[in-house]
Amino acid sequence: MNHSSIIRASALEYVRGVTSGEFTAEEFLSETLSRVGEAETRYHAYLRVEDSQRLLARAREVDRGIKSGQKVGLLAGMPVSIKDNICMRGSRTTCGSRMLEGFVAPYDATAVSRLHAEGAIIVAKANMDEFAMGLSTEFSAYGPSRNPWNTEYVPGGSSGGSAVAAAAFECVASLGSDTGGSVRNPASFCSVVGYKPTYGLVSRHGLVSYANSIEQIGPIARTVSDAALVLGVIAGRDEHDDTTADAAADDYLEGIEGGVEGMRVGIVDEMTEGADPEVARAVARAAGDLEAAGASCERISLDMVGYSVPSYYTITAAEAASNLARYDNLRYGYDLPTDGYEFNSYVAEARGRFGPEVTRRMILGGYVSSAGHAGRYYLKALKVRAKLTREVADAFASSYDILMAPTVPILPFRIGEKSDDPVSLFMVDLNTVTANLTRRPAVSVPYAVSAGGLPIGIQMMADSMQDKTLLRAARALERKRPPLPEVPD
Amino acid sequence: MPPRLITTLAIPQSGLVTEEEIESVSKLVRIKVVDHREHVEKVRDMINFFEMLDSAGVEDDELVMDDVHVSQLREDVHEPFGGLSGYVRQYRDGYVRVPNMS
Amino acid sequence: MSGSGRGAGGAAGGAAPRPVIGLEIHCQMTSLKSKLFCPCRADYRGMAPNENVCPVCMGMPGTLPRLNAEAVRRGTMIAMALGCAIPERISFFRKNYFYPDLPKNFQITQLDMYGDTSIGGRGSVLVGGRTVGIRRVQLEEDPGRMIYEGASVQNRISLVDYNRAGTPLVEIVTEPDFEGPRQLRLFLQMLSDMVGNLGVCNPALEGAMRADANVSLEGGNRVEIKNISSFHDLEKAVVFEIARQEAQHSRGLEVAQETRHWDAARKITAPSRLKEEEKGYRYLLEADIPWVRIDAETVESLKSRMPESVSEKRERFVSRHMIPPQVADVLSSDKMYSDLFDAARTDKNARELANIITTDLMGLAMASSAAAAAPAAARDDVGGDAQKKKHDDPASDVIRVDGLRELADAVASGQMARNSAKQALHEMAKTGKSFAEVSSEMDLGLISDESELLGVVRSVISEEPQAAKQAYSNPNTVNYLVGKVMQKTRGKADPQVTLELLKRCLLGD
Ligand SMILES: [Zn+2]
Repeated sequence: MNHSSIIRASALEYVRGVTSGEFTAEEFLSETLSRVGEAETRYHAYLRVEDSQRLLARAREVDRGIKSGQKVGLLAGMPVSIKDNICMRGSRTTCGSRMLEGFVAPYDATAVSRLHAEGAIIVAKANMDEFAMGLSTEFSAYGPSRNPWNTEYVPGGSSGGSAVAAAAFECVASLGSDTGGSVRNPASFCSVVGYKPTYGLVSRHGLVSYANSIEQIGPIARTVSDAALVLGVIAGRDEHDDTTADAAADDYLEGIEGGVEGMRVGIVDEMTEGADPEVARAVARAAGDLEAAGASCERISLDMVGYSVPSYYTITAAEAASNLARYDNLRYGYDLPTDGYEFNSYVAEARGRFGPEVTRRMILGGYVSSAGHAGRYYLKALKVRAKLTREVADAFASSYDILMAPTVPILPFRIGEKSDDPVSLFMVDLNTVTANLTRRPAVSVPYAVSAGGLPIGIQMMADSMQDKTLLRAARALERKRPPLPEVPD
Repeated sequence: MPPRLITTLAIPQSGLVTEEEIESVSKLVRIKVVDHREHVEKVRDMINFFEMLDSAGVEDDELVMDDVHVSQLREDVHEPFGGLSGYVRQYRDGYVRVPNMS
Repeated sequence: MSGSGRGAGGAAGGAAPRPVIGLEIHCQMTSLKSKLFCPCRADYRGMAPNENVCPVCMGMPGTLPRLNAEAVRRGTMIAMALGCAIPERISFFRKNYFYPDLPKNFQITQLDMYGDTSIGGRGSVLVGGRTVGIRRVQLEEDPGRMIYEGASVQNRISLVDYNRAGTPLVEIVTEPDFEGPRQLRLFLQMLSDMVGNLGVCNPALEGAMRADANVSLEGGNRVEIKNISSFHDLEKAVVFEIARQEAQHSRGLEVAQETRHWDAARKITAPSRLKEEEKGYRYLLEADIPWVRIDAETVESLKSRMPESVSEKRERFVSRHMIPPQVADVLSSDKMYSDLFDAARTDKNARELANIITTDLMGLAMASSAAAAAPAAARDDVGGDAQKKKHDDPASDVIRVDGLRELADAVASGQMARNSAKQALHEMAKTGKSFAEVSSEMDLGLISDESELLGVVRSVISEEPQAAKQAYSNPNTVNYLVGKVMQKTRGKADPQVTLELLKRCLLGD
């Protein structure tokens, strides 16, 4: 591949380039599509690429619009991809599962219709862990994605395909979904920016639910500003989602270069103490960078973080068992004739298509929410969430603008290395789940690459609806960090 | 080197969950599991891990829930969706056929 | 649940303990325009199978419930009318179980699991002089409808129509405060009047009101009876179940705590096979719906929007409009007819109008719907029986407020006889003509023209010489003669003018 190719442009560079006539949307798209063709043989970021002729026709439409001075939207023909748990009308949406192999969405997710309204061209549906349960993309029913930094390694998950696609220039930006770190974790593993908005900032209409009380759609992009640009397009109140905040559309790029002068940053002990030494060193250096930029950094302890992972897995398992109950293959799904089956045996047979991880989590969810056990597990997990939320809210109210930690306490691991040990995989989530449980916004910013050539990301978290403050801090870190090596190809 | 976190979070080992329990819960969530033993160990590990919640000291904590005013909800207007039939499996006359209940 | 051993065993042979009955009534909010969580129609009746569906009510992946604000408001009004406490915030839960008519395999409902957050609770109403406690009022969604084809079980085909899925329901759970069928009947009548009057539900629609009953003998185990298809059957089922439990008791046997279903064909209750889930549903908070604040201001504005209750309306009819109590009973209990009354009444015509509506118009409606009634079996329809005949009939569609007002005015002012009013009403209903057209065409107006009446009066006097003579001394005889004139004119003679003419002729001036 030609490394000086235009497709390495950031989203902001793309918009400038295409509107100023430096290149056309068609040129950019067709280079992107040929890059996809070549990169997919190694990475498997995508489950399906849309019909290229139709995509190119749309790009030409944008080009005509630009030439004739018509409105072409903020994104002006930008090639983006979306995780395969986000619905697009007339397009297959499998959630990385064989259970939904034949499912074609009858409507557009709000995030999709907003991308379209701003002229984005959605080129592909990205690979993911089945129903977003996992953090390595190894649980995709259609095979794992591979980390472009080292294809022997996992790209993280569950939005692994989206992170790989953004890192490997198979799109300019991608949408993932983040239930317990599913945007930030693969962003960290692939050295791209992954943004998890405040709960309710982005509509979940059209996002196939896994754990609906905590998950959000979030952008994955190569720069903080690119993530902010895409966030501005998809964020805002949506009448199809009663949980969206009553906030008007906003420009998240506004003030993003404002810096961290005077900001107070807390580095969370519980999220840093046990981290891999290379990862811990990166956090210390990042704190130094922020101080040099005028912020004050200090250590903070949040006791309830120690309970966040069991609370997170209890709640997500219980909600998953409920959310995935609808997949009984009666109204839509794959081909399995009903003849000779009694209702319950048919449903059980049909649901045999779920992979082992999803099966296990539904069993777990059934267990922790059953009449006899709900008080001990589900209710207690909700209370832990409430107490953790109070603790985090207090920290923001009294002392800090930003809480910082490694995005993942460990370095990316090899494919196959951990997929058989669920509890040790749980711990990979330790630093990310707090933002979901407390509904706070959080971002992973690429910070360094380990001696072994594996990316390390820094997570920053802010208070509810302080997404602009968070983006400003993330941008400051991005600007201050030492230069990063190029992704190998 | 594995992160120290795994050892700092002590996992109780009460091992309460039995194969029968796994079997009955998998029936409850309607999943045909060919070999329950395959899942027993992992599910048991997870549930044992969840027992950490017992030591969180949250018995007296109240749940915190977001709320909205009734006026923020959807007003009562009929809007037909139209065009769903092509996306739904049909037997005939628009009905969905389902297996008989026993 | 309730302990065994507290049962009837020890009391064998003694007088049976008194029956204790509670109800769970499901009332569809048929008067709303959209479903509880999506903009499909709330009243799905008359639509082709699976025509009234969208991705939300079909449980498609990625869809979210969009709570209907008006359902919350109307539900609150029902709760208030039942004397319930209104919580500051309401919440929703998922009741998880698998069933083919349930598109998401969970039902969104309400529960008081984390505080009293159902739309109403702890209320009471007075029925037939006794208090019935209301434990809980909650909003929930109706499932779809199952249809079975095929003659034998082997050939059976199960089909689902999801048009009903997501229809807003108000569930009303009473305390076990009923002692017998009469009280049940009064309560259900009151409730269907109430929901009709509040503009929530048309109880006459098939399946719009359904009920389950739980029956026990005091101190004994509770039996739930499901699958009751009408008010009428509810009474029968309860009577049967009480008798069954009393028989058990008299033989010294304990009544098992169980769910039974009403077998309408065999007229018995029979044990239901327990679904696994019924042993303990899995409930989860419905996080897709934020808790909803119902503040004092909202409650006040709903109070001011609440229509007059049926009893207030009856009281007004009697005291303000001087309508006889029996007529006021009938008129106030029906929203459509009492609305018609209020729209057409004037200070002068009220009494006549009430008579015309409750006797002539309702009679006409009953006759026409009896003629048109298709014998559609209402599978789970409880409210239908009594009221079906009064609603949805062609007669009341045609009779407009103006026509009714003119008719009542004519009777009240003495321009038309009571008998003729009935004929005019029938004609107006049949042809859709206006009152003016009908009264002139049918020649129903009073004959008050003296020259026209004089001939009739003279012929009556000559035909009744005896009476004419007595009339000098006996005023009753004058009335007899007026009656004769009426007979000859088929009721159209103006009684005032006739009397004047008779007096004049008899006195010879
Ligand atoms: Zn619908």
